[in-house]
Formats: sequence, structure tokens, C-alpha cells
Amino acid sequence: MTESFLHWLQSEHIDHLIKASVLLLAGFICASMASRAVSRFFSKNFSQHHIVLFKRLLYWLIVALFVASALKQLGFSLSVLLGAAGVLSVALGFASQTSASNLISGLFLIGEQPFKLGDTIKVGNTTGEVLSIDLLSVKLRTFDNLFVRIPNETLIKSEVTNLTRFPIRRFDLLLGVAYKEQIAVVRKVLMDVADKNPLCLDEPNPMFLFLGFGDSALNIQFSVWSKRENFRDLRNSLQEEVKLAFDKAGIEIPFPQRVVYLNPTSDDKTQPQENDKAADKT
Amino acid sequence: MPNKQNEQCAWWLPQEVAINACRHYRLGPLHIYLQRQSQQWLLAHEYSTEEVLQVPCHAEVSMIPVHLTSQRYLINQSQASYQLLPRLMDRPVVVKTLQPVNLPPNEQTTLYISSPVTLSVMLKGPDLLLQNIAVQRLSDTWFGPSTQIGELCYADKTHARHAKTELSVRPHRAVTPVTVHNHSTQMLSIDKLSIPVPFLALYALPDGSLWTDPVTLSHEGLQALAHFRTGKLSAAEAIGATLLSEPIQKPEKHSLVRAFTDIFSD
Repeated sequence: MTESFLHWLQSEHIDHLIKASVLLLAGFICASMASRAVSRFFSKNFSQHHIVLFKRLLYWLIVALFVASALKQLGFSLSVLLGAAGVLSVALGFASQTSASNLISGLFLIGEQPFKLGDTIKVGNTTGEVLSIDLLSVKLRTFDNLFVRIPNETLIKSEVTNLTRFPIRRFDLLLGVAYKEQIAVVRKVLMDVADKNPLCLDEPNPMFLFLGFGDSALNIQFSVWSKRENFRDLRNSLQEEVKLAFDKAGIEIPFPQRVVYLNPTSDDKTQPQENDKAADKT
Repeated sequence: MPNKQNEQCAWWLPQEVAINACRHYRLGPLHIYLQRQSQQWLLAHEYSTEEVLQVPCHAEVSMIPVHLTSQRYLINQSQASYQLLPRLMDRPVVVKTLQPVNLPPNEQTTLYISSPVTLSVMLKGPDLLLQNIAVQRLSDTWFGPSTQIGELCYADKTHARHAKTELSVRPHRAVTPVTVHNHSTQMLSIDKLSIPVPFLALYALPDGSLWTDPVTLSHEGLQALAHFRTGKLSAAEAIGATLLSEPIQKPEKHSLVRAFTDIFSD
């Protein structure tokens, strides 16, 4: 047993094995060095998204080349291996149509670039920050700190909203005021609130829209702009300030209400009547 | 206020304070309280809406008002010296003229426009920055022809005075002389003007006022961007002027800035 092992050690196999191992080791080292160099040299001219993609492509390409060389060193015939891989890939392709679809969708996403790493996107009911864009899926971190994996096919098929593409955003405040209120006064109060709020952009101007006559109120849309990063703060502070300003100016925000008139001439057999006004706090 | 008092109140100079002493500064709407203790400094600030009439000189107070939350800076042996160093804002300031200003073709004018400064509260020897505090909290604004093209700026209002003698004494604001050339063949309406303060240096003059480098803006025809050039203080102003802060950004030669509104605006 020992003799045969020693004999095997002295044979050419061990020589090939060592060479293959050295090739594999060198391959991994070269691949990691090359991928680091990519991020260093291309950081100025390319987006983070592209750099990550280049790094991965280059890493696996170099590793694949060195693995092929190592296999050849061990005596494997590459043409036979590649032929087998071709047959295998056809079989795998049929078996993994979903993955292939995601892969193709991923390539389209990378080309189209509807969002990049660090953006906040909304897909269906999920809103979160983009952690990575891979060939099969996109990973998100939601605001309640959950990790969400969305297949690329879903992203291609569905509507994706990028919340952080542009530096400023508009907040639309929909509210109703009582019919007795003067629209001009309401407009002035709202404009003053926007003027005093430092998070509200001076330009584009806040917009006051009188939407129409609702069932219980005069419907108004008040749209203000804010810096993207301040959007949430503005939404909170503006609504609070509008409420305080309306209270101060005596402007009423009515509840939905219905007025029922009793007809005194109607038959006594009519159904029992409701009171003149019913408030519904929905 | 008389300039003589301002000379005594060069509030940006390094000051010394004894242990357990507390100082109060009033700079425009900003109140700053600084207290030195043996092993810590306390710093608090608040904004008030009432008009300021007194000169912004420091006053000794017994303690920081209890309704304010002060920041504590723990230091093994607290330095005796501190400085409130004014700096210009980090983004351009878009000033809206209170009255419409129009400049006919081939005319030029110099407008004196002030913008509030930011204070760097520093301990001296060795220098240690405690906090940057804006003297006035300006509203943000977007300056550009569309919601996609443009830049974020601060918004302010101006009287756009064109005579130095009309300038009111507001030592918490830095005055920028802006010379506007209208090289176009049409009337230039200046209802908003963007002052690129990050490109300007800030100086203190002996009379207690703060000035920046002058700016020249040239409006050429229908171009959306204006040619922009910074100059140096005039010889008369430069005498006795102290450089307080260098420009935050270096402008490129023959640079263009988005200076006027209503050109290609949506």
C-alpha cells in the first residue's frame, strides 16, 4: 500500500496535480486583484451598479479560464468537456425556464437602468432601498428593515417607481373646507404656511387647486415641493402646521354629513325619520 | 447703530472666557449661549422671530436658559478661548427682489445684496470645531428651467439696493456687490437672482460689516446661463479688511452659472 502510494507520488500525476493547484490558486488571486482594480480605475467614470457588474464578470471570467487550464493540465480534453457542457446547458435550459427568463430580464434591466444601487424604488406594494442588482433578482431593504428579493422578470413585467431619481419631489395635500369658508382666505392661509416652512421649496411655487364642490366640503389640493431627502419631514410638518393655521383662522374642515328634511305633508305611515343631521366620522 | 460700537463688537474675533462663565450672543434671529466649565463646554442656540435692534455684542449671563437643550463637549481641560467664525452658505442663495427690477439693453448696474452667514463655533488652541449653526434658517428652493435641470439653493428676499449708503447695518449678513451687465438687445427683468456664494471669500471690514468678493454677471442674449466672474474687494474696502473664510468651491475660468430666472423657465 505504502509502496504503491510512493510509486504514485513519483509518477507524473502528482506533478500535474501540483501544477493544476497552482493554476487554480493563481486564478483566484488574479481574479480578485483584477476585480479590485476595476473598482479603483472605473469608480470615476461608471456608476456603482456597472462597476459591481464588471467586477463580477471579470472575476468569474478569469476564474473560468484558469479552471479550464487546470483541467487541461490534469489531462481532461476541453473540447469533450465543452461539448458535454453544451448538451447539459440545453437540458438545463428546458428545466430552468424561469431562471433563464430572469437572466434575460436582468440583462434588459442592466441595459435600461431604471434605477441604481442606493435608489429607493416601489414595486407593487413593496418600497425599499436597492441593495444589489443581480442577474436573477434585485434585492431591496424595506423601511422596516426587511430583506426582499424581487425576481427580475417581475420588475420587467410590472410598474416600477423610482422615488429618488430626481432631486426634488412634490407633496399633494388633499383637504376639504366647509362651504361657508372664503376660498381666498383659505388660499392665503395655506400659502403663508408654505412660506414659513423652511422645508417647503420657494420655487417651484406651491400650487393651490380648487378641485370642486364635494358632498360635504369644498375640495382643495395644495401641492408643495421639497428636497427629496426632506420629503417625509415636510409631509409631517406641513400637515401639522396647516391644522394649526386653520384652527387659528377659524377655518373648518368638515366631517362628511347628510341633511335629511322631513316632509310634514307626507303620510303618517312613512318610515320613522332620522334626525336632521347625522355625522359620520369615517 | 453707530459704527463705533460695532468696532468694539468684532464678534468673530477669538474671545477668552473664565471657567463657569456663560456668554450670550444675539446675531439676527439667532441666540447662541456658550458656557465653559472646567471639563466641558456647553453650547445651545435658538431662533427668535422678534426684530433685532441691538448690536450683536456678547453679554455675560448667569446660565443657559433652562428651556434649551445644550450640547455637551467633554474635554479633559477646557480651553479658555473660543471663536465664532462666520462662513458663507454652502449653496447659492436665490434672492427674490421685493420690487421688480429691470435693466435695459447695454446697461450695467451694481446691486448690493446681502445673505446670511453660517457660524462655525470653534475652540481655540488647539482648534476644535464644535458645531456649524446658520444665523438664519433659509428656505430651500430649486433654481432652474425645469424640475429636472437646475440646482438646490437657499431662498431669500432682497431690496436690491444700488447705493452703499442705503445699506442697513446687519452684521450677521454678508454683503455681495453684484454687477449685472445686460449685453442682450432686450430688457432684462431681474425678479430673482442667484448669488453663487460658495465661490466667494468672506471679509470683515473695520466698521464691523461683513463683505464678500464682488460678482459680475453678464447676460448674453437668450442664453439660459450667465457668464460669471468674481473680483476682489476695491482698494478702499480692502484697507483693514480681514479675510475670514476662503471660497468653499473654486470657480472655473469663464464659468457659467444659472443666475437669472425667467429665461427659458417653464
